[in-house]
Amino acid sequence: MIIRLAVKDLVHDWLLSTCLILAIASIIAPLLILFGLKAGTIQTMRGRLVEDPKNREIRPVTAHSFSRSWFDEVRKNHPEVGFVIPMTRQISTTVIGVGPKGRKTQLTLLATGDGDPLLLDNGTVVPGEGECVLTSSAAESLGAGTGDSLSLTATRIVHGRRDRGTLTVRIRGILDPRASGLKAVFVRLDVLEAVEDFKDGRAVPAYGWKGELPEAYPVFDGALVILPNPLSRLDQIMLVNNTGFSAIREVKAEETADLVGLPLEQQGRTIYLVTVKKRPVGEESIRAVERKLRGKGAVVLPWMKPLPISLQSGEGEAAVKVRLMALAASGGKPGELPLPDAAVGEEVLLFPGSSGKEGTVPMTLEAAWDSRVLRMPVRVAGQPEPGGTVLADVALAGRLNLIRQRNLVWDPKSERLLLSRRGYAGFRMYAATIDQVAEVRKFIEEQGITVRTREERIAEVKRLDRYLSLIFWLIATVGVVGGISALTASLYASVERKRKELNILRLLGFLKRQIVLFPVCQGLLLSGTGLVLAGGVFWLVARLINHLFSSHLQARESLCTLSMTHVLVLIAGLCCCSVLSATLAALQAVRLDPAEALRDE
Amino acid sequence: MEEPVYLLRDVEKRRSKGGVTFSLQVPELTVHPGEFVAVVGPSGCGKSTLLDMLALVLEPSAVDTFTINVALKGERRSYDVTALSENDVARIRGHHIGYILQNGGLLPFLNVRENIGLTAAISGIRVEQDRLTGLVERLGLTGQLGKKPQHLSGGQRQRVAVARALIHRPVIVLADEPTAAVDYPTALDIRDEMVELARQTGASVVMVTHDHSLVEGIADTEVHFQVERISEAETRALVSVRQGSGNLKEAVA
Repeated sequence: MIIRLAVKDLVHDWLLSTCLILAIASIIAPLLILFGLKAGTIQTMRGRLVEDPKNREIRPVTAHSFSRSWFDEVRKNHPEVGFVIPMTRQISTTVIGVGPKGRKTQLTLLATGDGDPLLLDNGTVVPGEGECVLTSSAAESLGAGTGDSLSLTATRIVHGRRDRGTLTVRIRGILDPRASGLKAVFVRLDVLEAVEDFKDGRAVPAYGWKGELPEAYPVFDGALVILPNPLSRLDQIMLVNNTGFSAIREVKAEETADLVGLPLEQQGRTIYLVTVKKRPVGEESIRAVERKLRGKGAVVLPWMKPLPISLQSGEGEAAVKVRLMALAASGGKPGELPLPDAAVGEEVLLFPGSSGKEGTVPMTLEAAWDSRVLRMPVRVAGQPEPGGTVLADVALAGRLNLIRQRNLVWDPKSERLLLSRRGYAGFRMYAATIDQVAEVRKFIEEQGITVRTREERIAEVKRLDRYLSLIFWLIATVGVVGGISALTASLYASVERKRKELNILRLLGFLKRQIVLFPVCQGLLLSGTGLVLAGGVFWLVARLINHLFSSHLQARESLCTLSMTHVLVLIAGLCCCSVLSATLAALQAVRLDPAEALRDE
Repeated sequence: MEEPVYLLRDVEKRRSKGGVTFSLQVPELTVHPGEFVAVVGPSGCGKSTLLDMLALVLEPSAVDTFTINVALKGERRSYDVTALSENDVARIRGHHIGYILQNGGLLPFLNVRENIGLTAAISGIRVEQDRLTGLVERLGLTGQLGKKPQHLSGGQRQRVAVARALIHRPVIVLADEPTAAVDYPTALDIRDEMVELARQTGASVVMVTHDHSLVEGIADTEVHFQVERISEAETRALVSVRQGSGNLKEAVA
């Protein structure tokens, strides 16, 4: 009843009601826009800062050499590093891209891998094998789009001749322009390695690029020197001097089984073991020892510390762990082998490659040292026992022994063990979050690597955020206080004007609390309508602002926006304010006796 | 003998304003059912104060006896006014008292029909169409029902106020200078209409006026005031009751 009367009164006094609504709307609308701007700008800035992976990048200033294990270590032990991928030398990342329409452009080759934020946060997926992702400027110059194929050509000059190596990749996606202004193409790391190898003059069998093969070379930890006569102490020292070996001792024939996997026969000869201190030596050291002993009827057998390997006879079969030793034979001179012929048949022998020798079984050899792993096919004569010893000729065993220092890879085409790369010139690294950039920088710089980050910019935006917030709050406080006063005053005044009517109603039999409901209801209606109006104005202005600045905004960004929470807080505040001021005014109005109040008019 | 609607004995209301104390003393006042009581006196004598006490909106300062005879929660008897709760007072006001204000006291945002129905609506009393039509016809308001008060003449407004005060068949009609804002002939008409309509339902009418000629020889009872200035700071008004001729019927006829 009283509510109906309240509404009727508002409708009757529509002109004044409209004025009040406009007044309230004009109080709220600027506040809405102010808060909208604050929320919008800060959110946009934060969004750009947090969401743009560029700001999380940690970039080395100079080229270094980073081993594979360094990357493994970083990935494993540094959760603050969100993503890291090696980079090859700058000079070897330049390729010529040819797009589907035959347009040529020079591109920078960059490696990417799973979880690359630069790609994932800029609207593409990480390319797989045979795929690539282009930056927008690269795509533009090439006139290429997603799904097109792109040929990449690396060039080199070898012995005055110009060589080309070309591969074709499919474009998997094109990055948002903000990702990079470079004309760059993102590919899997192995493509970069291949290009770098090619540019360094090496062959890349995977792409059919010709060149030298970086063949693995055998290394040894020592040598057995077998002499018909013992050496003097001085001769012993002279023997190891300047050969790469550092120690010499005499060993008994019985010990040789442990050392080389085969028992030698003493036959009245003296056997010495020369060893290195730490770094294994190459064949030239063996040759050096041989040269020193020329004419003394010596036999020098390269020796290596047993290398743990495992052999697997097929998919799903259990791998057998064994020790690999170098077959104690100096190649090509079997007649000089001091081995019992019978012994050879009982030993397990390894031959490289998947085809060859009769009576052998194909198996997969796996050798692992530190983080380096090598898998290659071998043929095995005999039955390897777990924990037992297998022998390979010095050429194979010595090359496998190199895994203690270098990454090795089996090239099935040439059937050779190749050296794979030692390390990388740089990296592309992103901190997991914007706040961890400093932490990552610190840990990288502790390793003596100078890096560049966007920390300053981050700090700047944070500072700006703080200052802007402060200013906004100051303005907002004034605005809110003013708004509350104006709202209260408007409603209070409107109740004052209704004083007569309120008292008539009271005289006619309404209770005090019902009377209070009248202005409260009116206040809520007025401020509610005002709010809706202000909301409309806000919506228009927000659209206008966002439209005006649309060229500076990226998709989904908005310079003027309000969250639901803000809106709810605002509505609640407004309702409280209106109810409070209307109640106060109403109580004031009905404080006097109704008849008296009427006559006071 | 029917019980009186109002019975006041030694009721006093004191009020201070601007350092001046005014006291209204009512030694005795009885209002019988159907009676027309005229409260006459110049302004400032306490007429309105008396009326407000009768309307139960002003609490007396000192009371010997002050009863009102109305039906409350289905029981009609004399209730001690000072013992009534605010809710009961509001209920009595809504159900049993019709109030006519000096300038109508109409709500500007309601039309005539809604204004007339307001008292009844507040108290939840159903108004028969006949009753409304009868009242409207008698008061010459036919055709004005859809209008807002601002479009009515002063006399019409007062008539609407009369209709609103009477529509729910109250026991008491209190009229505060109902004719002050209209010309004399209209004032007479309104007075007559009001008193006659009240008689039809047996309601007592208490009418406050400064114009003695309006009620002289017509009221059943006249209430007069003797104002005494006791000192600079105190004025006293003593109520005296005079039996009137009560020949309204004849006058109207």
